[in-house]
Amino acid sequence: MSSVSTPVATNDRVESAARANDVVKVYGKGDTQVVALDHVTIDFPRGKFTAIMGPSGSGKSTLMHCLAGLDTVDSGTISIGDTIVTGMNDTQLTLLRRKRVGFVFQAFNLVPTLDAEQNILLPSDLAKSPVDRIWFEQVVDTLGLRGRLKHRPSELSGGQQQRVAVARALLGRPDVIFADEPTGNLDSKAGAEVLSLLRRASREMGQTIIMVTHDPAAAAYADRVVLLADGEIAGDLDGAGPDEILAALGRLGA
Amino acid sequence: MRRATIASIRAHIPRLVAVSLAIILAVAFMSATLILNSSMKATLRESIGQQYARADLVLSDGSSYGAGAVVTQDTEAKIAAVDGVEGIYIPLVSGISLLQDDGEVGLQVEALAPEEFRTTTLKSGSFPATDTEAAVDESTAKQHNLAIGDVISTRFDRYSENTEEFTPITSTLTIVGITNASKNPAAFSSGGLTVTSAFISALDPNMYGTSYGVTQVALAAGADASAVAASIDAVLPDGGEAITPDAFVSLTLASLTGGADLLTVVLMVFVGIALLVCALVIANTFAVLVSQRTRELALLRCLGADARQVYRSVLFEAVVVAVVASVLGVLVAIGLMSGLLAVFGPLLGSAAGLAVLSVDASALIWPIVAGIVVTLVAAMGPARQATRVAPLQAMRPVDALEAGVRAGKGRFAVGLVLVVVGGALLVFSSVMPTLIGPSGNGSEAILGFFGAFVGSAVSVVGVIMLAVFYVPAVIRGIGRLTGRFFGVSGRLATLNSVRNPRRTAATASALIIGVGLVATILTAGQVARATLVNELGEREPIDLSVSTGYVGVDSSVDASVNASAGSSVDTGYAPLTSADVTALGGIDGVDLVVPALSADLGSASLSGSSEESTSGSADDWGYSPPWQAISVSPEAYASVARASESAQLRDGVALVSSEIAGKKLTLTGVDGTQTQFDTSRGSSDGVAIFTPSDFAKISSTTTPTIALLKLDDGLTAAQILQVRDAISAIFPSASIGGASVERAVYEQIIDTLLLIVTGLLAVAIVIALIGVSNTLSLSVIERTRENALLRALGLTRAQLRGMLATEAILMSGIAALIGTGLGILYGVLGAMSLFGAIGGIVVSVPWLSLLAVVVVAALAGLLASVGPSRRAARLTPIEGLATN
Repeated sequence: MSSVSTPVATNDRVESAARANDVVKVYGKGDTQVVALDHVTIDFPRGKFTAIMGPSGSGKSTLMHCLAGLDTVDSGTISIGDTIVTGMNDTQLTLLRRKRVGFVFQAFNLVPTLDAEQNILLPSDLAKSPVDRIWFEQVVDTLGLRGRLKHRPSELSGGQQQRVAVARALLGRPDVIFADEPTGNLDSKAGAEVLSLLRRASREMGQTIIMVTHDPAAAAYADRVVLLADGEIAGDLDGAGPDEILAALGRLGA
Repeated sequence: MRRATIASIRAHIPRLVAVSLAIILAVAFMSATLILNSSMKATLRESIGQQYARADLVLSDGSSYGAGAVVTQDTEAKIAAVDGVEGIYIPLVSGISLLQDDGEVGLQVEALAPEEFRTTTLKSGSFPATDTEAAVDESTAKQHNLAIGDVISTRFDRYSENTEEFTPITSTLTIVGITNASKNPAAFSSGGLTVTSAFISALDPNMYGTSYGVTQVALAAGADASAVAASIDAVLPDGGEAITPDAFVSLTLASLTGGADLLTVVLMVFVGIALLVCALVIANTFAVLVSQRTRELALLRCLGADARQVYRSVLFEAVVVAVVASVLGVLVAIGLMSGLLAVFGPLLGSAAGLAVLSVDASALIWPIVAGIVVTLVAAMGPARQATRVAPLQAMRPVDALEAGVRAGKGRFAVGLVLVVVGGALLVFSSVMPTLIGPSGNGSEAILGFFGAFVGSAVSVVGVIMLAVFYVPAVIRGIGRLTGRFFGVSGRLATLNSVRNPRRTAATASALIIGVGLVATILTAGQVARATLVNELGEREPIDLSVSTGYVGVDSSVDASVNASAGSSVDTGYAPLTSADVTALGGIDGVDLVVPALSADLGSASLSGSSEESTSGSADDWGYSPPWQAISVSPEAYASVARASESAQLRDGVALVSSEIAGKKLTLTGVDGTQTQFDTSRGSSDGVAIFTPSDFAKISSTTTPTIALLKLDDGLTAAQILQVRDAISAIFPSASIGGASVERAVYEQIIDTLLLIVTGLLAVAIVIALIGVSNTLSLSVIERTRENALLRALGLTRAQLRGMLATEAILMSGIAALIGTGLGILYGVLGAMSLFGAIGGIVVSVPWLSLLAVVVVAALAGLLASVGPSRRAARLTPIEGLATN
């Protein structure tokens, strides 16, 4: 029912940051069985900002969870950089998330007992890896968090909390940052700020970002928009504007 | 609303399990204590009542402690003549000596009751029928190797009022029967000999009025008991009265079970402590439940529930939990006690005073009432908190919950005042008796102890009120260390354990109370033990003294010693014989043997008021002068005696018991002149220790007849008895003195008491630990999203478990540390208030035991974290992030 557009061909020149190869994910059994991902193959090139879009239940969150090593796949393989993620045990996955993946969630991004700086440094603390202070200062200044470092999450606005989460994700220079509706809880102004920051991170710092969203305006910040419907890839737009994205979404519904 | 509450209880059953367990434990403890008390009483009633089983009336002396009236032959005749009296039985009971090859033993001898009053039952053989026959009870028979057919010799010493002399009457009896042992705990023995009344009457025609027996009366059929009793009262002299056996048993019981009631009171104190700790756990649980349900409650408020309905809904939930848990607790107690009786009853039986299970209503009702009241009171605070939930909170996102609960200034002020006032009273009461020193009456000690008790109670309340301020601070301080060692998960654990200071403080308080009490008891016990042992050392400095036979008035020495002494004629310093000393020294447990001269002090007298004593003149107390003199060199004394450094033996000074120390001791010397000595503390009662040169002035004895022994440290009473046996085996006629057995027994009694009390307090600690586990698992539920986030960001399962374990150890370990610190303080001060007046307080802290308590508490805390952290680790990051 959907016209499967060919994904961006794996180019030897363009190294991939994350990749799903023929991934199937099924929830439930028997009558309640839901195929969340139906033989999905997709490649996310390094340095690009990709948005994954689709209606509720299209499998976009599942795809993200599988790519990020938060969930396992039933068949197919997932790789982050040159590492095959599929088949890793819980500890291996945890270590992978710690070093190679960054997260920005919709809400509840920060540990309430830690201040902003401690939250930003949490993954490197967990990994006991040294912190690149110059990079840290640069990230903090870029995100405008200089004056907020000693504040607890409860003392920060929603936009500031999301910026702290972005800073945390950027600090480790992961292979890929996964953002799950990062602006879902923000007003439009704060949301636009966070999205611009993500775009800058991608363009200026070469950070690969994969963002799940249902908001075309948010997706328009991305270099590339992947559309998902019923667990299958339903479209792949490059440098599309909000209207174009909205139109593509509308075609999905049709 | 009610339906919503019930649904909520059903949904939260797993969260209520731990709190129910705490209530069950506390209620079961209380119920078991009450059942123990009533069972002990029932057992006593049965065994005491047994002997009057066939009487209609018994004659009491009218006192409240259940003694029989003295009935002369004259009175007996008058009672027998009272209308309605069918028969009267005056038990004839006396003492008799059983003569055996290896000496004589005292036995109870009782006349066989007439058939209609007889409660003694035969095990085998027959009852004595003639004056030359006797039956013996089972356990006495076993003890003295008696069997049917044996012929025994007895001696009775008949006392004559006129001549004030004893006349020995010997008889020969044939054992014809074995009776069942008496179960009466009030009886002087398990039975003894049963003989014919003619036999006893022959021994002493004046037996009437001197026997212990309680006179029993049987009524004619149809006679009115109260009317007959009144008629008997009229003929009984000296306020004696006729009462029913039941009433009499009650009197005896009351006088006997003063002890059992005291035990119950003491146990109830521990029950109270367990309930208090339980209340803290309950309050905590409900506080967490309410805060977790903020949204749900807010929704109910949105839908129209008013504040009172919310309040009642929380309390209703508490009542349901309390009723279910309390009933279960009582059932557990009944099961436990009947199980205990079934297992140990036949074993201990009447010996332990516990054979009959008796569950009276009070053992069922009061624990349940207590459980419900405690739960309700504890849940009131959280319920009030629930009413403060604004309807708007239903709309707010969950993560806004985190605003820390801050404790008020009022709490701080009140807590501080209580600590300062209570602490001052405690310190004053504890130091006062020591400052005043030993005094004539014990009122200062009682006052001091009372003051210390009130002071402790007041200051402890303050300490607990202030816990919310200092517990988080201490955790933060110590957590800094764990953060260094355990990295980020240790740091998170610290932050987590102080994020809700009030909850942490309440959880810790429960443990602080439990551990603090254990530490107090252990420390006070240790101080008491050290002080008493020290005091006993002062009073009885010589472990064992072995006299080579009882020396008569003429100080003639036992033949065996003469022989041995004769072989070693020396200056008087020489051993009994080197062989004897070697033999004594060779006994296992003997550290040192010092031979000494001994002489009787025929004409000693005391004079002068004591120089160091403030307890008034010794004459007022009627202390008699010492009757025995011992000569030993100062060096030998120093090595063998356990007295303190101050007890120094020197010429011109006699070491005497502490009661007469400081007075002048005047003795008649060998040359007939009076010699006066100063005295100083350092010997036991009746014995004066002199230097050899002083001794030479009062006695010409040069043959050592006594050996002073020092035993190895730390021997048990049983081991010391073995040493004594070994000495008796070597010197069969030796008389052995010394307080080492007494000292060891004291030590054992204190140790046993400590063990029991610690065991009782363990119930409170277990409840507190349930609280730790409970708090932790509720926190884990509360922090599901946060933990999921941490997992997503790279916290491994092991690290998550480590974080929660660290949190538990921090909370329980620090509570245990604080409790132990407080316990040491309270223990030392409490012991000072109690023993300060005796003097010579020896402050000694059982560090090893206390360390063990802290380690066990911390490990138990770790154990308490196992469940919650497993549950937390099982959750995948996505599941956790998805929960609301």
